[in-house]
Amino acid sequence: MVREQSIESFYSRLRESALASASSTPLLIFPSTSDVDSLCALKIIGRVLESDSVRYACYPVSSFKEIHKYAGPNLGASSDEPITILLVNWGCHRDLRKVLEIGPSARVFVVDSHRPIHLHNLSDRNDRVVVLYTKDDEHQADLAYDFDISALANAGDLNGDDEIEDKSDSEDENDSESEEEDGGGFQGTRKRRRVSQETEGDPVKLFRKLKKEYYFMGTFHGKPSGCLMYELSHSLRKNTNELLWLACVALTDQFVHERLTDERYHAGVMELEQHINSSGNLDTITSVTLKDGTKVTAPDTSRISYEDEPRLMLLQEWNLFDSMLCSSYIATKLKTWSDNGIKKMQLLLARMGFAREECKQKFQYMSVEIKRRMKDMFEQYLPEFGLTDFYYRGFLLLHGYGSRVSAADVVHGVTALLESSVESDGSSASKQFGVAYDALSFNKLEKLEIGMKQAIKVQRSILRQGSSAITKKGSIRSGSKFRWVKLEDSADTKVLCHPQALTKFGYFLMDALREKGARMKPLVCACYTQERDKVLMVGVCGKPRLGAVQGNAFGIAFRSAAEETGAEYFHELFESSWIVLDSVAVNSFMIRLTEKLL
Amino acid sequence: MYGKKGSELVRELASSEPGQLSAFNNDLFAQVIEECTGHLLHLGPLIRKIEQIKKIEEVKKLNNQELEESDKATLKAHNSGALVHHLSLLRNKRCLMAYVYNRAEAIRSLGWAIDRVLPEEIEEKLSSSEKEYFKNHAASLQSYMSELDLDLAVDMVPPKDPYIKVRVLEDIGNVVLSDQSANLACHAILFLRRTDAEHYISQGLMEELNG
Repeated sequence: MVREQSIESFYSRLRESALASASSTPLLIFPSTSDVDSLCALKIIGRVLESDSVRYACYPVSSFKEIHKYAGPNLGASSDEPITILLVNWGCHRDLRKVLEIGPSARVFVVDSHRPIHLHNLSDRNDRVVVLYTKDDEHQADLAYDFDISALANAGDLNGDDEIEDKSDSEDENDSESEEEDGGGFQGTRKRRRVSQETEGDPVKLFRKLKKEYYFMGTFHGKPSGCLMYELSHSLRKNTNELLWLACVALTDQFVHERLTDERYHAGVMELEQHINSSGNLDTITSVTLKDGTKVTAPDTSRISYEDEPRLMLLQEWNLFDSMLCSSYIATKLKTWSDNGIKKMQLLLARMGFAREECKQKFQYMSVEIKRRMKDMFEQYLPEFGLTDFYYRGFLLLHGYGSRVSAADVVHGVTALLESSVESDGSSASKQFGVAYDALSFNKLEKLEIGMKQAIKVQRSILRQGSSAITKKGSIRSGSKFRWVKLEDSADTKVLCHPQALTKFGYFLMDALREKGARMKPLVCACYTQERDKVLMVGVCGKPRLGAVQGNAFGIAFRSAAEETGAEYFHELFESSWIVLDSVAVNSFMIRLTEKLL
Repeated sequence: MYGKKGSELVRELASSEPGQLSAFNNDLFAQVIEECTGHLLHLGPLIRKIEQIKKIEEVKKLNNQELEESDKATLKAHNSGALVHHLSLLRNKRCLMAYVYNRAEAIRSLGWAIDRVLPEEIEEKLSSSEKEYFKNHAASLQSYMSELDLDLAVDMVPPKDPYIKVRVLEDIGNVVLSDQSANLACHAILFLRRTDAEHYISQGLMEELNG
């Protein structure tokens, strides 16, 4: 098996399996180093396991094969030592059993928000892999299936023989053949209609069609792993405010990196608001009686609150002026890279009555008056400039009277820490993971500040590169199905040559293009590494919308195009729309990709 | 000045942190011993001379005669000379003993904290006899503990939790812990028995994570 539908039974199976193998090895946890959600989920599940005295060893990984470096021979088929593995926020979109060569005595548990889940991982016959995939998650997903996934997954094994290895091989061949037939993912929608018309023909054919439909929907994201793990800690009565905050950060991570629809974000926010209310964050001020009897009001050490937050990045670490200048939302709407845009922004500030000197002051030291009036003023004047949804519901962490950190800023800061490795090899990624792990603690705000400073650098590079791509003619090339842009030859590539940063850059460009009135098309960003021998490619498909029929379809197309070029490529990153290529192969790759997505 | 070197030795000991070992000062130690031999060389002839004069005095006493004035003066001089040398000798001896004793104490306490093998940076600070001393001390501790079947070297304050969360700071490789085997790769985060981790933490290969 297996698909596990309830979080509690998933955890009890995990614990049982871990205790059964505890005589020889601890539970091995492999969190993904590529997003904040995985960090949050790891911290929460770690806390739960600790309170149950389950020993574990945790090795951050950034690609599929890295796991073998740490797991040793026990994972493979030859060993009969029982071993339990937990993958946090990666892995379920590939056939784990095949890709990781999992032996019969190993059990792999997966908590992952990446969709679609590989059907072999969900199949009841595959008892080495246990995937947590709740019914709620399936029903609330951004993209809905109109068929039963479990049935489809199980059907996969029914028409094959018992040798699953052989069968899956031939199936994969079928997959790639059919990809070639219809040339990539963008035709999935047409297929879907045809499938529903074709009533119960050959069951094998029907199965193939449904499967194609399932995979060609493209990639998207399910419920954040951090939130799932918080639900677990809640149901086990092990939830604390700190864990709740991590769940808030996990949800905000998906929001900041545009991995979920607004509707689902609001649903998630409401759920977490209820948790916040019920865990005593409401009684804002408690009074403390000193030794001599005087009563002093003192705020709780730290509490979580929710408020309408402006779409301004890293305000606490920055100043109002620069934050407005660089934040993707305002920058793309007002085109703050042009003289005209700056004038507009200054006009806006002037109309609101904020002195320019004050706005350039570090936000912490900006006049209290402005801070107080900020929200009213923004809401009054911004619509004149076409900025209507400037405020969104977000979470805040308050420490006493002094510091307030918004969850979005934490996400920006921690992501920047995760991606500020000097070299791109795995070892420094795991080091950065450690730094980010510390920065996410309640009491290590100074490390978070370093991350926020780095995030500011990233955002400035995005603005610089984004505006030059927009203003310079010919730097964004347009195909019939997608656009693409190449980043090379600048100091900024060093900062932007990380998947999440490059994705942010992609979203910035798409927003800017939309403001220019261009037709919305998916975008491929390519960024050369410092040494210019490798290229990182990221496919961006725009913010997910409710009722969309198509997720990010670049994954399959990337892989088959890269295979055809015959050059060396690295598609083992945890998001299938991320790929690393040899720089010589870029042109032929792009040609093939264009053909695939015609 | 007599005894100056000995006091230097002690001063060196006093100025270092308590419980911390500095490198064994072979040079100064040898110089103090040399000074002691010098004192002995002076002291021997003086004592002999004093005894000669004393004998003469006894003989004179039998004949009801007094010592001559010149002999009296030399006796006095010899007496005080012998006293100075003798006291310097005693003082140097005490300094040397204090130096060695205090170091031995630190080494003994090391024996509780570290089992058997000294880290290199400590080992190079010890003299050869001190190394021998540590080895024998550790061995007798071990044999005592195995006789009792009890680890006496553990922390006196019982921990709140038998488990501990640590981060590995250097690549240690595959290691067999008390009942499991684990891969202690660099940057890994582990939740394991406190007793397994203590050893590595004391060597600076792991750090405790809290929060």
